[in-house]
Amino acid sequence: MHSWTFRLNALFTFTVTVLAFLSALNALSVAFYKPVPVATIENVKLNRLPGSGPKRPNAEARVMFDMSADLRSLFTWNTKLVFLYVTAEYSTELNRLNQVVIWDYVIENVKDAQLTVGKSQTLLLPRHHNEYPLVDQGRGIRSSADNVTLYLNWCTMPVVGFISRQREGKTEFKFPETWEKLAAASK
Amino acid sequence: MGMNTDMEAQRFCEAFYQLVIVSFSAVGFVVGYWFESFRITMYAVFAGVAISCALCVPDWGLFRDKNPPAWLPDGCTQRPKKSKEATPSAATK
Repeated sequence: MHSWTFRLNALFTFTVTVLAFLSALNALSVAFYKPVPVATIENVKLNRLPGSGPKRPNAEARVMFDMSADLRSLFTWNTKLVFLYVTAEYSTELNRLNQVVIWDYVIENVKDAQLTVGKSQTLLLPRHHNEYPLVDQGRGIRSSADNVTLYLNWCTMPVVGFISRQREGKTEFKFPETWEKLAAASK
Repeated sequence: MGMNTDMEAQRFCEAFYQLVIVSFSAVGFVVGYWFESFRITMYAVFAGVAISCALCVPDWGLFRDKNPPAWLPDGCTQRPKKSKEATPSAATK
């Protein structure tokens, strides 16, 4: 403490200790908080099947869906952002579980945490069909006996603490084997 | 450690910046919790750090020589010079 560099060093070391303590207190203050988010995803519609020809190695689809979520309760003072994403999950002969992220959205503010996408839009999002193509590894999704399930997932990223992942709301649809079948179904 | 070392002021300085930073962060934590923004808490801590930096870090000439150290009188720590008369036992052997 006898020179200004020693004092600066001591002061900043003490500050870092205080910051660590405050961060721990912050994490502790919301450790037992149970958020009650509401989320639904429904009315899935396949509206395009690019790559239906035999030359395309991987089956691909454009998917539309309705989605509504009220994630305001996820926001505390220890929430940095919520990463909302939709996954399509199905099993094929090649893989027991395929997970494809087809849409995502970053919520940074509690004001944006209530959203509806699809027919009854209150918030205009960039897209209400898949942002990323639903591409299968191979063409197994066409002949898969099981339905394809869409899940609404989100990751809550805190200021301090662990990232938590949750999923709520799912809906199923059947992937047709050919484009003709899809066209017939949509008439 | 120069001639201007002031132990009392060093002790006070350390206690002072700790008090300032801790009280700013305590108030900031409560206010940040109330407004649900950890950013407010951070800003409060940084304000406390800035204030204590300004007050405690530089060598303010104003406080110099308030508590000068009491040095021992000049020459009192010197070893007495050896002389032949002082060690007669060595001479007799």
